[in-house]
Amino acid sequence: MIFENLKIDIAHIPVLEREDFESLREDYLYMRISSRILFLLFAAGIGGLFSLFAKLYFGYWLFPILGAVLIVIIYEPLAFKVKGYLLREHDISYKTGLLFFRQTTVPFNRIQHCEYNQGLLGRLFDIASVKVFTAGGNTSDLSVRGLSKESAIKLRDHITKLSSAHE
Amino acid sequence: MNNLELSKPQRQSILGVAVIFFSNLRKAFNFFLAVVFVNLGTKFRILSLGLEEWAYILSAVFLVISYLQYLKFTFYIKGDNFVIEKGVFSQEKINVPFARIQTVNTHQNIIQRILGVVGLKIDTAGSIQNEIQIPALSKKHAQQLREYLMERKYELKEESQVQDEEESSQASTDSAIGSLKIDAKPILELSLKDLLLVGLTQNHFRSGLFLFAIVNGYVWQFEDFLLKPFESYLEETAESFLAQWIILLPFAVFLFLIISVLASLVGTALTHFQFNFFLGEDGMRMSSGLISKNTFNVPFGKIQYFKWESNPLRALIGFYTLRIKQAGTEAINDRKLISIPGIKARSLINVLDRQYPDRKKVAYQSFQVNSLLFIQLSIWLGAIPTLAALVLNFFVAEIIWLYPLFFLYLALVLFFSYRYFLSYKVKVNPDFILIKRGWVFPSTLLIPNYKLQNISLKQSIFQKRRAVASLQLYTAAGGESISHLPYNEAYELYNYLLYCIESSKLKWM
Repeated sequence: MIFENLKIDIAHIPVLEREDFESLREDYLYMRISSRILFLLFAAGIGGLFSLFAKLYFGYWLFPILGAVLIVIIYEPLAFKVKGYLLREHDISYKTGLLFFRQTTVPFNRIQHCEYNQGLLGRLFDIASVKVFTAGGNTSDLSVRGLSKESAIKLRDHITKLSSAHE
Repeated sequence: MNNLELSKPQRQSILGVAVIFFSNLRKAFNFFLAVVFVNLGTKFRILSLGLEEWAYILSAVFLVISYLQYLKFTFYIKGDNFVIEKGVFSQEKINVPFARIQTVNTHQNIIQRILGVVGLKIDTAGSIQNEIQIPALSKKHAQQLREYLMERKYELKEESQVQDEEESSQASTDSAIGSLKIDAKPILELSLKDLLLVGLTQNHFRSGLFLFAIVNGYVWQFEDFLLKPFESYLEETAESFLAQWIILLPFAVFLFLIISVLASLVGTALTHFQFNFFLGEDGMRMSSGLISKNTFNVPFGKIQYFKWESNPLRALIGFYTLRIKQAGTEAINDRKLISIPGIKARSLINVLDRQYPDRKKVAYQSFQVNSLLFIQLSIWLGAIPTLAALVLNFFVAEIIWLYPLFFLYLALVLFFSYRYFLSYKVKVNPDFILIKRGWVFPSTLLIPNYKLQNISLKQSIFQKRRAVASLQLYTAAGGESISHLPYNEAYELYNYLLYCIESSKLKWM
């Protein structure tokens, strides 16, 4: 026990278990892979133009891009397993990062406002995100990604309701 | 209540025209400086008018614009909002709800001082409309307006809190802040001697670099005119300079030192001249400045946390710098981050006792950071740069006597990293987090647990291998990190601090 001489018994402090986290919708994984592949296709297109008109050796762009595709296909599913969110009575948490893991929790009584977002690709895959803002600066924001539109709106309304109850 | 007629739109003092005019002129001067500089000495003519005529014409235009700006600048109160309308070409309307007002401060630049008016700045916690200010008010008017705004703000808060019975005791302390009871006698006054000491013990290296950056920026901006005339001369002498650089280097270092010290002194004199620090029952106030005089009012409730730091020179004379962190974004934190230079340990403790009388009531639990901190510092700051320099020297420069220098550097980095690692101390009790770190530049942070807004736990793959994690603590005044705690301790601290935030009913902002 680390907090043995503190006022509160450590046993009564709620513990945020990593196993409790909800994983994100699988479509989010496919969306991430497609968005990266789309970008690489775009890069390949530019490389192809150079090869066609400027006589650039095609291997200079093809092999790095194929390598990148391979990395995306291997890395993204692994990274996806790490991502997750957890909604509790008093706070919301999000975890992400395969190489640099990061888990953030924002208590509802510190939330200033809450936003719902859906991008262009998100509309295709029915993927939306919820952004949570706290006071003073944008470094401390939390965004929960990879939700369906319906649940994202629900989550936003839920957070807004709970956080405004504290003001 | 004072006799302020605020229901109708009001203009500021007529002297505001002059204040706006000079601030416009200064902006224009910076803009036209390059034009003037280029044409210095040559015959400058546009539309058959010379430099001087253009200056007169532009000044007249600015005067008219300033007058219009003055006319269009009005402020009034509508419902629970303080409203400012301004803008000549595009109208702008700024709504400040009373509840959003953090503090109201006054400031005076040299023009405002000569004219005997003060500028009023309204601080809101939000990041967008942070620059809300009324450039010119008479001193009395500014004082009244300030008090009125603060009163309204706390009236509002009381109303909402009366419904909330739990916080009724809180409301009574809060309403007292409205008038901000402050002791008449300053707790700290910097005499000229103190000012000199503070200036001499600045981080000269930083002020030197800062000055260098500014000067450098200006030099390159006007490179063509400053350096071109000497180009042929420079080229001729460049070679002989190169041969003599070993002799010149110590001289340059010495010159840099002197200029840095001077820069520190001037900077200190400008910002901290006549520094007065008042402490009261429910807040603090400080005023200082040579050319522009600033007054800051800080109600205790608005303080997010304290940070005090020192350096080897300051430690010799027992001076600390106390930084008071208030809510605001990182970018504008410099202005929000109010600092008290040259505070002695005794006064520092006095301030802390006033603000946090119970901070030592419950024992602190210590946490020891993992030695990975030392290893990572040594690798990133020591081993990698040294290796790069070794390779570069081996293949490119081939200067043999540089090799021992590289190893000396590595040894120094190892030594300082180790001292830094030893100095890193984290202590937590039910109400506070205390972080001490730094050996050469020791700093201490005291953060009340309930002021935290959210917490991150970070773990890189390097940390995972050693079961170590870092915590990032965010407050409304910015973030602070605790590096490399053992993973289960970090996780327990994470849960515990969350519990502290979520169970606290205190107003944190």
